[in-house]
This record gives sequence, structure tokens and C-alpha cells, in this order.
Amino acid sequence: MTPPPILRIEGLTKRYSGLVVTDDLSLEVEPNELHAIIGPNGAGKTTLIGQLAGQVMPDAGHVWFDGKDVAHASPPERARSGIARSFQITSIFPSFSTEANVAIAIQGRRRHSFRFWRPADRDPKLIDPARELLTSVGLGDRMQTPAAVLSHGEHRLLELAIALAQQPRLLLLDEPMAGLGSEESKELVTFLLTLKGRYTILLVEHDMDAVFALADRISVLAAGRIIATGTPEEIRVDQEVRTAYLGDEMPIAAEGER
Amino acid sequence: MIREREWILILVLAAVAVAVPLFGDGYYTKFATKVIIFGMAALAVDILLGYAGLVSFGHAAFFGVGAYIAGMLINAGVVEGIVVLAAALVGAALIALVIGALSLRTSGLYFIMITLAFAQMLYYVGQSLRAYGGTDGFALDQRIEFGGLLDPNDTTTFYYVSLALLAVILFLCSRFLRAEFGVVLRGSRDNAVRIEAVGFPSYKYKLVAFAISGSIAGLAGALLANLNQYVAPPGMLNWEISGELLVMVIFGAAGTLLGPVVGAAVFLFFAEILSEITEHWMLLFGPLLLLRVLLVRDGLYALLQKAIAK
Repeated sequence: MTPPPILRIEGLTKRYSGLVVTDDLSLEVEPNELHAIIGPNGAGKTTLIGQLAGQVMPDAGHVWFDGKDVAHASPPERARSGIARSFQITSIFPSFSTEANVAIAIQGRRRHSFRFWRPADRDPKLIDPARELLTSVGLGDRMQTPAAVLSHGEHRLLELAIALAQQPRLLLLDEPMAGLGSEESKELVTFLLTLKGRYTILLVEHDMDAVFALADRISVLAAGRIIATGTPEEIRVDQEVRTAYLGDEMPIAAEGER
Repeated sequence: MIREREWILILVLAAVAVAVPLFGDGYYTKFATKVIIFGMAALAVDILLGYAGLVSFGHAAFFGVGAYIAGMLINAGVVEGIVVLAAALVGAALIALVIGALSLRTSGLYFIMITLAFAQMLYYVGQSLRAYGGTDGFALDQRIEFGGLLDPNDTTTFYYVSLALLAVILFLCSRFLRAEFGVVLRGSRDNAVRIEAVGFPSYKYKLVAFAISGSIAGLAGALLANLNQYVAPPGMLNWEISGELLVMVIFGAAGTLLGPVVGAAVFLFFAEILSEITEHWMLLFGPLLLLRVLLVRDGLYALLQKAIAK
């Protein structure tokens, strides 16, 4: 008995002035699965994430999340229904402290923020969990630092902490390892392993070592279509994947993908 | 947001403000009242500029609406201060809701232009009010009263009433800007995509901020109408007012509460002195603004903050 998929993408299509970026794409993600999406530059991975989180509106198709079609819901609506994302290019609140960056994401879970009187930076219901989360990702000693001055590696961790603070039922990670050194990447993989089984994660990543270490299943995206889905072992030996995308070798991390 | 040392600065400024009528004659007190009023309007602009990252080039609209509402009510015999000021506040807030609802669908340069366009529309509405003097405007029969307890016709009393109102508004702003609402505003200024991705429909928050800002500008306008006992489109509804308010904010320090008030004081001070020398005083003020932008990174108030931090 497999549980019903928490995310079911059906016939998703997105065109940019004639160029089909997402081509009648269908995919299912099961609860608490870590599902990785790999594919060459320009395959449409980030556009796909954007259509799941709401920054990009699809031209056709459905995004069933928890039984509801959210394909045309706004980003805040989707965030509130339990979809959180990280961005490939770090997207944080630069003038806020590290702590406030996470606290605002926790605040986002409240029904509304039309509260005008009590100082938010002294609300233990926002600050305490923010500190806990930052400690768990390894930014415990950077709480009061303005987010703008953190290092790139720290930005990637903060980006992740913001998404986790939303207590998502679907976590979309868009190249969390982008720009990290090999040591930092390893640490992040170790951390993501601790999330495995507790969150439903859709991971877009170029770092193949990370993908094969983390994923329960992998889908291969090429020219806007899923050409194969399977366990890491199945994908590794899949002849169609090899010829269509991988060539004869596993791809190595590339950069500048959009 | 208020660091310990900043209290010293706030107390010094407050002491100076309270002491103004003790020095010199009514002329200075009247000038100081003008500073308070424009400081209040500049603060309204700064809520949007400094905290929400929105450049409104149309705050003359709310300033003018407040002034007209106050003038019309007083000349209609409604002179109770609380009623008149509340009406100006609410009236300006409603106009701001309408203008904001449309303007906030745009951003950047378009937002600047559309707020300017709305303010210009209201300028021409003001000009076309024949019953209220058209372009010439109209004089107020009297100033507001406070149940006969206070006599705002007295220059000093009116100054303290304005100062008290500014103090209350500063306090309320310091609360809501630090509360959850203010956090969302600042978040939307920092990162428009991220704020939505963590679950905030930022349009609604910006719209409420726009209405709050408009209502404060409206209150300031109502006070100016009373100070001058005169209301007219030029000097209240014209686009130069919107520009001057922005200049005051930038001079003082955007993103602070007292910065706009300090900026208003400096602006009006120079306007007064330089206009003695030449009617083209902007020619002399321009370079000062340039120096401020080039030499003082965050504005004069930030400079004061740094001075006391040492």
C-alpha cells in the first residue's frame, strides 16, 4: 500500500515566447520522499520549481498539492498551504539580522501580521524557534549578524533555515549546494540527511555525489520533459538516460543554470 | 530599533522642542510650528520610503485633502479640534486607500509617476472648487478649539498642540514599525520575492501602510490650514510639496523616525535664510542637498546618532 502522492504534477506546460520550457510534464512525489531532479542546463528545472512555488505561472496543467490544484495560486497562498522553497540565487532579507530572517518566516505561518503593538523582536514564540533552527543548521553564533555580511556558505544555510522555518509539508530546494566548496557541500549533505524521512523534499541539484547520496528517487529532466524516473541505481544504469542526457559520463556540477 | 544612546538624542531634541516658545517671540514659535507640521508630513513619507521602500511622489494629495477638510469644516462651523482633526485623518486615509489600491499595482518608476499623477488630479480638483476660492483658496474663519479648554489662537498653545500630536504619532509609529506589521513592511522593502515566498501577500500590507501614511499627512495638512488660517491649492496640493517632503526625508535620514523631523527643520531653516538672499534660493539649496548626498552617507540624523555613540 503506497500512500497517495502529496504532490502530483499533471501536464504542466510553460512557454516563453514560443520556447517550450516545461513540456507537458507529469510527476508524482510521495510523502516524506526525497525526490531529486537532475538534468542539463536549460532543462527547465528552476522554472519547474517556480511553477510549484508560484513565482512562475504555468500556461497549462495542474499542480495537485494535498488534493488541491494550486497551479494558479499566488506564492503566499502556496506558502501558507505548506510549500516552501529555497532559491538558487540566495534570496534573503539583507538588512535583517540572521535571527530576524528566520523569525519573519515563522511569523509567516501566523494567520496574518496585522499586529501593530507588541515588538516582534521580543516575541519568544518567534525568536526561540528561530534560534533553535539557526543552531541546528550551524549558524548559532551568527544570530545578531546582519544577513548581508554573512559568507556565501552561510547564506546557503540561512536560505535553508528560512524554508525550514515555514514548517513546510513540501520543501523545494533549488540547488542548495550552488557555489559551495566540497567541504561545505559534504556538511550540507550530512544536514540534509537528517531531514530525510521527516520532510517531503523536491531537490534540484547539479552535484551528482549529493544527489545519489540523498535521493530516494531521481527524475531526469531534459528539454522540459521527464525522460526517466527511478531509484538512484535504476537511473545510474538507465541506457536511455545515458544516451539522452548523461552521455557516457555522469555530469559534474555546472554553473549559471537558470 | 532604539539603541540606548539614542534616548539621549531623543531627550535633547524633545527638550529643545519644548523650550522653543521660551525663547524669542511668536515669530520663532510660528516657524517651529511649521517645522513640526512639515516634520509630521515628512515622517508620513518616510514610513513608505524608509520602511516599505516605496517612493511616493504624491503626498501633497493627502496633505492638501487634510487641509481642505479642516478648512471646510471650520468654515461650516465645526470647530471642535478632535472632530476636525479626526475628519482630516480619516478623509486622507480613505483617499490614500483609493490611490494606494491603484498605485501599488505598479512599482518603481511607475509607482512614482502614478502617485504624482493622482496628486496632480487632486490639485486641479482643488483649483476647480469655485465655492472655495479656486486657485486663490480661502481663509479660515478661526482655528480649531478644544472644548474651550485650550485656545489654539494663541501661538504658543497651537505650537504645543502640534508638538504633542507629533509626539503621539512618533510613539505610535515606533510601535507599529517594530511590531509584526512593521517587520512585514521592512521585509517587503528588502526582498519583494522572498516576502511573498514566506507567506505574506505584501500588497495588503503596503496598502495599509499607504493609508496610515496618508492619514498622517492629512493630519499635518489640517494643522497647517489652522496655522496659516488659509487653504489654497498652491502650497498645499502642488507637486512641489511632495518633492520637498522627499527632500526633507532624504536630508534627515530615511528609515528613521526623527530623521524626517530633523530634515524638515534643516530644510525650512535654509529655505527661510536663503530666500532672504534671493528668491531663487533653491539654486543655493541644491548644492547643499548634493553635499548631503555625497558626504553624509545616511543623512543628518544618522550623523547625530553617530556623534552620540562616541
